[in-house]
Amino acid sequence: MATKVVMPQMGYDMQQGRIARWLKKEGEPVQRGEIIAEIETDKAVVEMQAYASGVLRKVLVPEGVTVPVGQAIGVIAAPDEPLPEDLTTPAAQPAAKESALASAPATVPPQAAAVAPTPTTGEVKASPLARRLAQEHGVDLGQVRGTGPGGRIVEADIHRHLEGRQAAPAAPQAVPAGGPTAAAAPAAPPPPVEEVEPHLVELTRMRQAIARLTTRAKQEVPHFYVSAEVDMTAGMELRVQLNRALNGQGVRVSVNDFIIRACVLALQKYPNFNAFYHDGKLQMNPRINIGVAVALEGGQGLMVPALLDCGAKSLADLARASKGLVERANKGGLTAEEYGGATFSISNLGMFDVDSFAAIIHPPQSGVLAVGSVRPRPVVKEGQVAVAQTMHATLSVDHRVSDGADAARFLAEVKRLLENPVTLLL
Amino acid sequence: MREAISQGLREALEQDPRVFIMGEDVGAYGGAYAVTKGFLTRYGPKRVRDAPIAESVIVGSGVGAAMGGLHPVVEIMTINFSLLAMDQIVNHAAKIRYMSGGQVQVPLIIRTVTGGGAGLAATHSQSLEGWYASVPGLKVVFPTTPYDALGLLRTCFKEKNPIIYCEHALLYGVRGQVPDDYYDVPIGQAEVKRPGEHVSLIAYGRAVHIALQAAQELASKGVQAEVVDLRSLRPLDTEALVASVKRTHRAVVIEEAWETGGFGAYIAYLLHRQAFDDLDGPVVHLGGADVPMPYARNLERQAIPDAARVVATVRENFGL
Repeated sequence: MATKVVMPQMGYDMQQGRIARWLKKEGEPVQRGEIIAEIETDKAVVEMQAYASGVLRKVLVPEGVTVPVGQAIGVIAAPDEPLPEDLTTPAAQPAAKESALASAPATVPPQAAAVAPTPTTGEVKASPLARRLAQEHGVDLGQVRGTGPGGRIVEADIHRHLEGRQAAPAAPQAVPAGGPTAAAAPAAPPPPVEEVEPHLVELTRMRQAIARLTTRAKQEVPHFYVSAEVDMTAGMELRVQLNRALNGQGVRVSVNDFIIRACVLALQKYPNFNAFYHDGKLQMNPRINIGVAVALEGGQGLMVPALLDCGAKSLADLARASKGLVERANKGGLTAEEYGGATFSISNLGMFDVDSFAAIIHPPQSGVLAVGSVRPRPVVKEGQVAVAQTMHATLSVDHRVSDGADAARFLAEVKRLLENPVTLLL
Repeated sequence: MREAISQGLREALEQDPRVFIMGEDVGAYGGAYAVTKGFLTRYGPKRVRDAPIAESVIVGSGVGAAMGGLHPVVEIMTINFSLLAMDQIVNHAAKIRYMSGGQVQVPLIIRTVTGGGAGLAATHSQSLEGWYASVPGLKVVFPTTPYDALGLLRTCFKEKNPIIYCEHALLYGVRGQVPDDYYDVPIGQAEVKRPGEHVSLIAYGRAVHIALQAAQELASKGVQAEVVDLRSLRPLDTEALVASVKRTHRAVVIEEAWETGGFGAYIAYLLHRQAFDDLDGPVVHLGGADVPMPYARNLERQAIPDAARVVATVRENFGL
């Protein structure tokens, strides 16, 4: 009987997955339990097992395409069995949205095991001893051929690998006669340096996700950057007044909230920066969801959860919402939309005494604003050098979406709003 | 081997007036395996007592005599018959010292013959020593050489707790050096019977001899197998087993008893638990077939691990 292969749910918050790789081609036999594909979720690349034996008759979703959980991606059936028509046409369109850079802490609820293969961390089969030796000698197990039962890498394979490595010809060390070294003073031989092998550290899921997504972003998205210095003197004063007025309401407005509000207003004026580039078209997003880069406590990694529907939110609303968002990002408890729904992002390293930096755009978004510390700096006012509280802001833009002049206008608008902070209250 | 056990018993009878022997056919017949041949004439019917075919009575009166201050050696002709005395062994012998808060001790030696391979069929060929080895309060020893047989027996007579002393029907003829000078073998100490670096063959009882044969065959193929003899199942010398596996990185645990729930499976677990990062492959448990022992000789051979099976197991599982 023909069996649909569907995009598995590999975690409670997984809504879609990308086919990273098909390990079987159309027409190849598969056994129940065999790994047939690698699925990229926003946490990791996870192996997917076949739940039926037969032949992979149809690949409905090609590599690199993201589809929602539950959608058919292939068909397993007997070699010559006629397939029902609904199983032979690629269904539905790929899921529109990519999700957040890195999502929830990697906890898999028990029910996930029932519906999805358990994500495997070690894809290489190796004996415990072989693993230990590999770690001690800095050997990548992926480079070692296993000769044990079932292809398991055993002790002997590691030794063979190490011998092979040592046997590899050393780089020629010939020094051209009369070269710089010849002129050098006859130096005593350097003291022997104890060779310490570098060792490999496994990356956390989140780190792997960040590595993958930032690589993709830099490879696929043509970034350019514009920056400006923003005078925050008035903003800082207004912030003090606002917080005095808000005293006792359990909320404080931060510099970041000012920046969010300024970006929201600027995005309403320049909606291109709130759009997604898709296959030669621009998806204009009606809602403005601001992604806020959050460095997780304890150095666990980075998340960019979204403040949803910022368009209609006042400064105080934003302050309240962003406080809750950061807390939930750390504790877990973000909604799926908060994970993946940002349309524009802000990355703020102000608390780290940073002058300026440029951020990587998180696809499919087309812009990110990176801001440094607000601090007293010399500025020129009416021909005189004066001291002002300033901040450097750098906008990263997807050049497929906007050009330099647009970006300059957008950034100028953000600057104008921040330097005239009363406008943020309107 | 037979002579070594016999010597140990004679020494005890001569040196310690509290020692007496009781069991089926131990007297007039000289023992089912001739271990106590001539004892009745030599030591008289008070020290060498023929018992009725009633294992519960034999062990029960041994427990009582031990509680009363004697040091009895009771013989259960084969471990298969110990099932009739199981309550006395497990619920009485093993518990009395504990339940009396140490006021009463049970220095009792239960000699019994275990194992298959002698064509005695399903009810007379079992290897139940692992069951007893799981009972706290009992000690279980299993010598495989004349040296160990005498050395362990001497230590048993110094013990104040009940001990199951296992003998294998097919090992009575094993020959080996026994020093004239006094020595003993501590309970709870395994021994490397043959050193090697590539794989540990861990065994007890007759399986030790099978492992030694297998090691010889493996050596001709360039594989140096280390043979470790438990000698005591309880207390178990885990440290020595782990040390061996840390040297060789591979292990096969061999026993005659059924694989399901076998004592060897527990040893395999301990090795995984305590030597995991040193293992180059899973510890393999090679036990007897999960069947009632067949009477037919050809089938019986199939049901008990032999050297060829051990060699094949090593080669298949470790690519050696």
